[in-house]
Amino acid sequence: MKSKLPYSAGKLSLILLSFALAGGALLSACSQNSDGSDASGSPSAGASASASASSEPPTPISIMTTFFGDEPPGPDNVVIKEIEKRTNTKLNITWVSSNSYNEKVNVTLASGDFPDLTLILDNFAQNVRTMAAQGAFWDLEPYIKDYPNLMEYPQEAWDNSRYQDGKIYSIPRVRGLDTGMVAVRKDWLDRLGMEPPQTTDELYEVMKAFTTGDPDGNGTADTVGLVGYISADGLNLGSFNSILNTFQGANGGWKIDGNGNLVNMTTDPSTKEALAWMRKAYEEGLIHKDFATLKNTQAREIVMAGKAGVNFEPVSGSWVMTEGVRKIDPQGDMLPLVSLTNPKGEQYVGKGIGYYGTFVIPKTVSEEKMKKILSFFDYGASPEGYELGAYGFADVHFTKDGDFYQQTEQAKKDIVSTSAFGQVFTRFNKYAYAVAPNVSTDYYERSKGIIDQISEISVSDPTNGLYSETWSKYRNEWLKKTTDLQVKIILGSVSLESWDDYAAKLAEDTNWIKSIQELNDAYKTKKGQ
Amino acid sequence: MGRAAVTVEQNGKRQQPYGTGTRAQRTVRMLIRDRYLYFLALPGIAFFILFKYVPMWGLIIAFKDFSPYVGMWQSNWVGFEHFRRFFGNDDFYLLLRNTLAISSLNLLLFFPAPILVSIMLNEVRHRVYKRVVQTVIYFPHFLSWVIIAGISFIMLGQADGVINGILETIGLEKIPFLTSPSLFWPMLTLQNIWKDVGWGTIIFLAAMSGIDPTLYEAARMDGAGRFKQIFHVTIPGIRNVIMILFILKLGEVMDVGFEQVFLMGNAAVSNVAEVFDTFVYRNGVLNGEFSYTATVGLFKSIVGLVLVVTANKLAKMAGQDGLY
Amino acid sequence: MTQTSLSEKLFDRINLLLLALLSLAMLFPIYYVVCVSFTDPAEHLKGGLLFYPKGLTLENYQYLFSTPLFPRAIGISAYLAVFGTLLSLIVTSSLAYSLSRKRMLGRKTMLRLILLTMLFHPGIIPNYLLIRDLDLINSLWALILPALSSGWNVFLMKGFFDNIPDGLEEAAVIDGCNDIQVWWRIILPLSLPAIATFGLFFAVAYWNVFFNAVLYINDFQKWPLQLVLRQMLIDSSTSVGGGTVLQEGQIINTESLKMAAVIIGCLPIMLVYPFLQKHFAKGVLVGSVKG
Repeated sequence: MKSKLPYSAGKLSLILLSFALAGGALLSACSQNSDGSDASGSPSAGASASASASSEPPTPISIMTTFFGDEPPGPDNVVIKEIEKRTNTKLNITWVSSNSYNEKVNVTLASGDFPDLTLILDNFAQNVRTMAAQGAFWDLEPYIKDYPNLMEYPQEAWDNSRYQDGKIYSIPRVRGLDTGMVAVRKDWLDRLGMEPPQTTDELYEVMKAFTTGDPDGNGTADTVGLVGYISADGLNLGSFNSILNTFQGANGGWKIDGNGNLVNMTTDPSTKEALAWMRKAYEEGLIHKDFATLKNTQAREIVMAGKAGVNFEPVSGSWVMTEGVRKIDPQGDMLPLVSLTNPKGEQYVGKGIGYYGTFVIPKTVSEEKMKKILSFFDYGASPEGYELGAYGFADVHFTKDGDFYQQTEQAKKDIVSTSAFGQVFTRFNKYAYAVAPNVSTDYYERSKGIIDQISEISVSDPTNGLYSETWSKYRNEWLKKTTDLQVKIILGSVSLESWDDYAAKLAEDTNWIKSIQELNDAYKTKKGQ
Repeated sequence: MGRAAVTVEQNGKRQQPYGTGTRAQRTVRMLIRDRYLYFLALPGIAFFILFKYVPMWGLIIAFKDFSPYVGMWQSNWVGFEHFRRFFGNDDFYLLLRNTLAISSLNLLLFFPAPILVSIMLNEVRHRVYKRVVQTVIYFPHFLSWVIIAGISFIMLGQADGVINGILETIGLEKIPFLTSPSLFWPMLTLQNIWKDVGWGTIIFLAAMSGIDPTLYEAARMDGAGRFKQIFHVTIPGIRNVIMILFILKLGEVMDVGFEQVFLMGNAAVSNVAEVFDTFVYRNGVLNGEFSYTATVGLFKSIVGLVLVVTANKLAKMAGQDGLY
Repeated sequence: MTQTSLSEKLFDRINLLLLALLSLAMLFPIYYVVCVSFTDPAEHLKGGLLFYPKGLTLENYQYLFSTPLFPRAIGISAYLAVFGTLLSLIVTSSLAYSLSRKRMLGRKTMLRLILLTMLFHPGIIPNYLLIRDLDLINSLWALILPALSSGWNVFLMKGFFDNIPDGLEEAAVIDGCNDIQVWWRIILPLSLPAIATFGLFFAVAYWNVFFNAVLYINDFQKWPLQLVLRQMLIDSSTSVGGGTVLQEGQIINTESLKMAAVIIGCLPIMLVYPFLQKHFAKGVLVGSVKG
């Protein structure tokens, strides 16, 4: 034992020690490294920027935002340097993985010292709303008028992000308003000699023909009419929600009735009609057997594999599906439909809120600096600023061909893209949903035409931005129960009549009635302003 | 000095050797005697105080209407309001039933599985075979639930699932595995076993490696067969670890693995798939309602505490060491 | 005598057979994941079960390796797994050893207090504020220090030390060792199987660190592997949720790429176990006592 022990103990301690030393060196090397790059990045370049821009020192702006892609641009990125120069700012950007972005924002907000510009994905989340009410963010309404490019954002995007106290606490990260809702295999329709469906009845016939009529011409009935998914959080019917809303003729299930009152359509007979329609379709095998367990990407992949011909997806998704389908069938084409008409004769297509996430500015920032931040943002919403932020330098990072930006290899190398700084600088584009990676010119032009048609009739959700304490407390419980029952009805595991009992009971629920009343009050307050 | 300590401990009594003086004096003397032992414990104790106890103030938000901006101390006290809302929820008993059913199945089937497999591995004489099996079966542990949910879907889907494909070819009816409420709980348990049975064997195999081989020799001398050796040598040798793990598992009875249940659940099985974790996700986390989330967490912790303390008492009454 | 050996043989056969079946059930997913990772994404889209890589390609792996963050992230994760594990083993084993000595005054109270930390979780906000107040945001220490130990590891390690016979300690004390020397020179070398086991647990935990890195590490240059991998695999259309807008340059990730990332993400740490297995040789402890 004696001869053995000191050896193994000595060996162990030697290993531990050497690892500890190596580890310590690595750790300190790491932190030094980043400090070093920070230092080399800021003073020299920042000084030259300020010297060339104006005599004023650059305004430091800290930003927290998300990004897509492999790697975010670093502080010494050429485009960011140029933006700093042109806006006379010194940017300190925290790029957060779009995974778990919400958790990161929640802890950052909770810590009290959040960046000068913080992207919040849901500006109506309970904690954000409370903070706004407590005066944590700047009310930007009185100021935005002075920024012409920001005023180019559609009024709807501003209004939808507005709280019911009439205040605008954040800058929307604008997106297209008209998203589209459903796409159909055009080549299959052609092969079967059918026209694109315009009503729910016609859609049913198309789904039937896609299921039984061998639309891909391979000799076996191995295709299905409709595929879709149920929302992963279980709070709505996912892609089937559009069917429900079409029957209701109401976006999000909320409608303004003849008296100007807000009504919820869940308890309306049209909801039951929609359920009956879907139940029958499922029973006849027109809906993919696994829809209740699919995720949205899976539903899309089933279309791409040429196994289903209809999917409720926005226009951008229809290109993704088309591109996938064409790998198997070069003629494949998912055609976005403009709208669907329900049995009552109402033409319906939903409208989006026009933004995804908003940027807040904390009240701890001085008024003067807040204005500087707004002008920084305003620059990003200008044609020049947006192009610089999202696409970089002409001929270096992109070449332009009509509406299309052809990105160069240098753009990839310099991490210049809409997925990077394009997540900070945004500019409204009506046809945003027609734009998609690798989209072909004719497909893009056709989508633009469809979006034009959609924009004339699209229906928005009247409850955008409204708040009711009771509603927000019980909302998710109701939505979950409603969705569960609806899915069971479609699957045929409970009777269609069970919906009547549920709807009747819900309509009598005191909290439900109270919520609708509160939301009506909120609606009137918001409208009155 | 240290020598005295060991001798004393071997005798099992410790009141005599420092018996002079008051109780406090004796305590001080014992502290001095074991000063190196406390020194050893120091970094660990400091860790637990700093990283586990300092943040514990966060539990108080269950009794407040916590708003992140005004902070912990300025937020209003609401007493048991969140608890009332939670217990008053119509589905409370459904959630409780589902949570308990899923954890009971796990305790009953998933907990013993690695013990069984490690005993089997321990009986393998062929070293290479043993190592290969060990390495292979611990692989699924590294797959995330998202991947496992994906693989489950490929295997069990109704339209194109592999198993349903086989059932169809041999002329049997397809089974809606993923949307049958009656199959949901067993499916979760099976997934758990599949994912972590190999990983679970590691700790038991380590415990078995500490068993004195002479015990097996002695057992063989007495004519004990393999089963007898397992029951009289192997299992007693790892009893301590089994018990510690089991008691600790009891503390997690209210946690059923949010990711797994959330990913595998769907509207068709919701009446068996809704558990406390999914409930609080939808009604607290998604909404940014920290206080409500904390309330449900606190409830789960208290149930766990009661179970652990009770189990530990029972273990001690049965003459075992227990946790403490 | 022949009878026993016959039943022994039967026992061995059945045992080996059962383990082989179990391994097959586990082997299938490895095989499947590997197949998909080498499959041409377009082929995979056609669906169905893969039994071999269709349209064999290395592009998924090439893509993962081509990104600049990737090699650095592997380095950081490896550093966490090595350095963090060593620190964790030192802190946890010293605490567990002292708590396993029955002569230690107050050990029961300490064990009870440690137990409580396993049951009550204060949530992410207080933890975040603590890390911020310690000025550890953006430091790799923020991924090591809060994970140094855990109640689970302390209780189980203590369970192992409980089994160490007092005789060993006594012998060392006769040689004039104090408790620290006993722990370092006798207990640790003699508990190698246990140390290897817990080392593996710690290493896997450090290797897989994800959520803490999201919260505490703002500088992407310091992101560990799991964070980088998941960032590469975000399905942009799903995470954008209600506002599905795909933009130029966004990559739609394929299942094949995901599977390649799974392999890259776990292969290095998986290889640790077979290497550690030699420490699991039987009778280390008892052998040395006798020797």
